[in-house]
Amino acid sequence: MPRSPRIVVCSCEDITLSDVDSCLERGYRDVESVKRFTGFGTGICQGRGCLATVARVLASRGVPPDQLEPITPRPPLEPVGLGDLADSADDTGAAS
Amino acid sequence: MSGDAPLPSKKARVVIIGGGVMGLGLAYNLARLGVTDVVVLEQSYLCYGASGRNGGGIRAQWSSADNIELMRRSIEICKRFAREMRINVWFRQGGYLFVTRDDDILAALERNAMLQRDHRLRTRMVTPHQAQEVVPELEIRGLAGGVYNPDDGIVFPWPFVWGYAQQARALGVKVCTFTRVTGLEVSGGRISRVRTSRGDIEPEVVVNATAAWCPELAAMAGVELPNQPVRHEILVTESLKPWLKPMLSLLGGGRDPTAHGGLYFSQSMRGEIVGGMGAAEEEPGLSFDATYRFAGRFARAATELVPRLRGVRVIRQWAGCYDVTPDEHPIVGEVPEVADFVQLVGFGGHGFMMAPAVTELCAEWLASGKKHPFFEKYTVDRFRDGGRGFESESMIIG
Repeated sequence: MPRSPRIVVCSCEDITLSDVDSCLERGYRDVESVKRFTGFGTGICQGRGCLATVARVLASRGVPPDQLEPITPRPPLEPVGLGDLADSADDTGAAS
Repeated sequence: MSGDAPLPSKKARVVIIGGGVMGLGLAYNLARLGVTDVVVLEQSYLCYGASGRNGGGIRAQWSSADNIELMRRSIEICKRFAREMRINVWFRQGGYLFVTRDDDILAALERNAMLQRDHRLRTRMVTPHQAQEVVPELEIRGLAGGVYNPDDGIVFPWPFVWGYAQQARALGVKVCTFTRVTGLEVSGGRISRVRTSRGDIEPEVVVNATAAWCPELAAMAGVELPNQPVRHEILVTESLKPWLKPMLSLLGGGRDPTAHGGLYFSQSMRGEIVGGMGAAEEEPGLSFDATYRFAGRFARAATELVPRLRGVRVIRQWAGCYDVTPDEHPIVGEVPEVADFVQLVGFGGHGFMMAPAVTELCAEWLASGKKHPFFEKYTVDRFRDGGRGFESESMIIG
């Protein structure tokens, strides 16, 4: 039986198209659930390289547009060293 | 399964409100005991609440005997979880090392360690140099000492939720996500109907497993709970090759360790450093936002303790809510005002790790009628009529 090709949709975490399809088969069809089930988008790029691809896959599998919301954006915008954060502005107690 | 379809059942023997590890763990354990007419109602996607936001710590080092015993059982269940539930939870028993710069805190840790050893844990006190043997990168100047239990562990939280959900469903439990409870109708002193965004359901027993949302939910049935949600922030770094064996936690450092200040961080099996620390000024409230204040404070505290961390990059911050009670002990069992309305809340920042053992006991009670004393001792009654509860659990971190 010919093996289906291994199609990588999230290269940081090595998540394949068939991983996403398995997730959909189990009934987890919104982006946040697919992220937490497959691990896509949790690597160093935090979804930059894969979110659009995975969203397109979900759309093609019939997930309605209103369930195709992006992963919640969180700081930092790009990776920041703990040393840089430690050396940055004094703690004024202000939350932001 | 999703938002608009009507509920799969109009009646159920047990309706569990809250699809975190408490609710799902209870559903799974009930079904294993033959009680399968169970519906779990979750307001969002699975892993939305604290069950999906925590740092994955699983420890038995506590200051109260009840917590120690429950956690011993939870750790045993965690060891078997992957095999039984057929999902990798990345369980690693690297231990927990608590250190402090404060002699009074060290004395308290010593008292707790004695209690833990009475309960057959392998907890031992360590000098700063001994602590450095466990974590060679530790900066020990200024440290008074610490305590270490090699059998405490770390997991990756999400697969716990998936594991309990999948096995519960396989046994016949209905897990309904994106389903909000909009009302609880009380008549004849019991909840006659649970109203949801997808229709109504008539329960025999209702379980409140909603953690941060528990006071809102209980109020729908006219029950007052003293719980308050308090935000706790957390972050994750890039992956590194394995170097940090235990979960490391610094108690004190200018803050009372019971004021949710304890710094903690560990290295997951994926190689990332995951850690957090509480903020003494944090006001109660439901918030999942991340702050720059936390990033700076965590970075300063962590790099002071392990200077090598300076070169490690943070890739994401987020937050979850601890479900906090006035004495830091849970609120479980029945409530006087409404019959068959079971509370499974108030576990602060340790609900995730307690869930395997607590839900096992709760299922035994609901299935057989034999109530474990835990569900009598920690009811909401202790806060009624001006009561202030028990002596606080002191080993709170995060």
